[in-house]
Amino acid sequence: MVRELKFKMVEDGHGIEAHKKMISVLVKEHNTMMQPKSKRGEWADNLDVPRVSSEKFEVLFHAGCRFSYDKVLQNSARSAVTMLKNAGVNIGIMGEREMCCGGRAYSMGYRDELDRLAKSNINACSKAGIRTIVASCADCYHAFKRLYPQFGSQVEVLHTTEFIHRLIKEEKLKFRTGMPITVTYHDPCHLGRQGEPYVPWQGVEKKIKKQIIVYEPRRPRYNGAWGVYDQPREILKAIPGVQLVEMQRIREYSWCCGAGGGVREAYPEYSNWTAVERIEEAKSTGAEAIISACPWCERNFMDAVSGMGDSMKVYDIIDLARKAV
Amino acid sequence: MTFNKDIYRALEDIVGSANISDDPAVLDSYIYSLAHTAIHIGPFYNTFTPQGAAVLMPGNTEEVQAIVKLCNKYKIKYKASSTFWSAQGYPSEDNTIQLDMRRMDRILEIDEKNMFAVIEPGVIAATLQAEAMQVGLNTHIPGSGCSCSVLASATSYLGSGPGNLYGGWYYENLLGVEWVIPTGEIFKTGSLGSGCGWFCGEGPGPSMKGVFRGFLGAKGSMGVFTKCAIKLFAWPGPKSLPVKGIVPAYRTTLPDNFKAYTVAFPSWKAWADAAYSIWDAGIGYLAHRQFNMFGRDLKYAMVKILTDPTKTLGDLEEILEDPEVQKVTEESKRDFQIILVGMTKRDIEWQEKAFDEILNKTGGWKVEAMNDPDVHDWALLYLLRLGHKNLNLVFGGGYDGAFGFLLPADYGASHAEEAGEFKKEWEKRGAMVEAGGDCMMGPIGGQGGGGTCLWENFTCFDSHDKESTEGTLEFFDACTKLSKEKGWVGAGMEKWNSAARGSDGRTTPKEERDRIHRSAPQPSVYRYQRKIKEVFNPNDCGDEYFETLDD
Repeated sequence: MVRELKFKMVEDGHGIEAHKKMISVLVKEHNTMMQPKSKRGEWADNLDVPRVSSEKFEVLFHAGCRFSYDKVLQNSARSAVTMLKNAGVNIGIMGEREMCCGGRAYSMGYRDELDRLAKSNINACSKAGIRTIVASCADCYHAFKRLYPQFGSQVEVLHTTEFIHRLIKEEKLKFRTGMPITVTYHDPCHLGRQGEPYVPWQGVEKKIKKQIIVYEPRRPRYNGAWGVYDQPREILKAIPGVQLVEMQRIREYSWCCGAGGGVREAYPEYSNWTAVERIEEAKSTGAEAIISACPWCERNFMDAVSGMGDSMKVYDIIDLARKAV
Repeated sequence: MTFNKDIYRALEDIVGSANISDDPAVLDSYIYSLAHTAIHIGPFYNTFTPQGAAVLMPGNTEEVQAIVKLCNKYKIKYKASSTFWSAQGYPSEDNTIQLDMRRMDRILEIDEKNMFAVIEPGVIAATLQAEAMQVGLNTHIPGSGCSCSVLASATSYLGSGPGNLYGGWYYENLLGVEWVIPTGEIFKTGSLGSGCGWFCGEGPGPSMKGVFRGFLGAKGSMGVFTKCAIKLFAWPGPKSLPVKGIVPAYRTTLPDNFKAYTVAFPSWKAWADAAYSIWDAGIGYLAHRQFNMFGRDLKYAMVKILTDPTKTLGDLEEILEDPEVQKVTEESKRDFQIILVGMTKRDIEWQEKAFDEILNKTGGWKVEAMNDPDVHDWALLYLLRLGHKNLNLVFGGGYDGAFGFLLPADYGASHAEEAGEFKKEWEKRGAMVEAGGDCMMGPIGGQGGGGTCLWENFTCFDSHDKESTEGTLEFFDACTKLSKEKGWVGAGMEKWNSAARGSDGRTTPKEERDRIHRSAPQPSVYRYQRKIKEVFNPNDCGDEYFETLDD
């Protein structure tokens, strides 16, 4: 309902100024970071990984806007690609040809932007013969997994944590290096409660027992519980020496990091307060580090920790996994 | 904003600019559809409570006091609410200031030895329960659910719930209170007023609890309660409830000193006899006729849906076809749920034995299907936490209670069947969910271990469907008429609010209020309340939820 309201506000010209600015850059530069598209592939410079223009591959690593341009975080994206490649995955990247997934624009109320970007990305993947998309960003994962099927996308979509978890189960990846650290895991909204797979449905509302509202055929129920929750935790537990301690608000009840939906851009104070709340909760567990699986969460937490003058460490789960391999 | 800028600035000076707003968008979020527990008119009619002139979020007693004094100075009405249960928490008249008490949400103290907690208005039952369990204590939770304010429930309303049996209603658990009276002075009641701490709700002189609560609580119309102490109870369980499962099938597995049963009886007389015997024996921790809220014909099918996260209402018809479901539905017509909690191993053994004997004597039985481990653990969590209030609205989006017999077990039980049959006839017409007529639910026992039950016949309808809403309104009128014709005492829940707020969302006209109060079984109550109001609220800064009648 809130999303529909956002669509309506944007369509009626009542969008938020900070969002309008971002969208105007997104239209021209295909990213939400207010950066030139020509620099999009720089995160992978000197990384031995094929780019779509030069070689054929079946698994595409989509870095996403935040990893592509955030100099501090992009090492996590490099680690993800390296780990998967070393595990024998035929993986490649789009490089400077990569475009925003459109998920962030959609959550801000700009569904036409999603439409445009989704069609472009689906077309690009189709031309390149991509069968699987891997994303380390929860926002991108949500867009590809939940939104793109509505535009006809049929490629397999995995978050990096799902792929690594699969490789561990298949014994293609082993953690050998111990890391004595107590950590807590933050479920990103778009990987958790919003990360449930899309189930196509077309039907009508009808009433049974005179006034009970049901749907014909049965409508899928998204209750947030079927998102990606266990794989990241199992990865952490598989790393020797890592002790995982849980916060109170986890899984489908996870407290948001405050960065999503355009909140960070439009309401920075509120966004920071939200992140500080989460950091305080993480600290209450006795953890030395808060781990997440989304660069937006990580950036917001890093900024909050810095503002608080706190010593809590913030890591992407890939950072720990890479060190442990 | 309809009052002048100087007053607004004065209020802003009290709470700070971040805690006051007269932005129409903000004020619009403080209006409420009269869809449920009010006058039963859904959003279809676009009928809402009036928009306030400003909303304020005070942070402490001093701020509340300053606001109330200012309101008296300028004769401005104010309405305080903590968790906004239904239309009752919102202004009844234009130009009222809405006090949103959510910032005052601290548990100030848990006195483990003397078994009470001192809390502010914004403390919800779930939070208090979680903290109390850490020290081996528990709180009663009102039927409105664990997300409701404990203070509001205890100071300003009934506070009835499954825990009545063991812990009494919330207002019975109310100890010392800090009350900003309607004119702005601070009044400390009970032992607190004598400087002796929070431990006792009454002190020398007349019952101040009776004065500020009146009949059924003042619902934010007689000053503001800023702190209170609430009695806590023994909790012989883990420090936190271990919750498992996937929504909505959450469950908790507790040690063997916790047992959740659904029991049923061959007749309503046997049902009531069992209820009395349970009180006489002093057993039981929680007791509620809970799942009958879905209706006699649908309740077990709903349990099947709610304990399986892959199921939805779309599966209901198919489940109802299952012969096993039909058998359980038939055997649990006259049922209730009870949770036995033993403080020791011997205690639970004794309670089980006593309970079995009561069932034996009354001809009752345990509904075995509800003893399935997953269902048992689901029911245990449901009743202990009362976190499923969304289910009130699950069928068609609208619900309300009819009849509401607030009387001893045998009285309600003797009319339950007739009231159920009456509803069944209306269900057939199609305005409301066809659930078997008997959707009576409510607590078993309370009031000092005595025997008052509350029989609320859940009526579920589609508030976005004109025919459904209109038909339900007609049904409620018919319920009131039937209760009068039959001389049923303690009924009329479907019109509880009409004495204070009319169908336009505003204060009921005086002539209508007077008519309602004069026809009440004990009109003197409202005359006493008028005298109290004259003394404590001379500037009439509240609304008419503190009900009065002229001589």
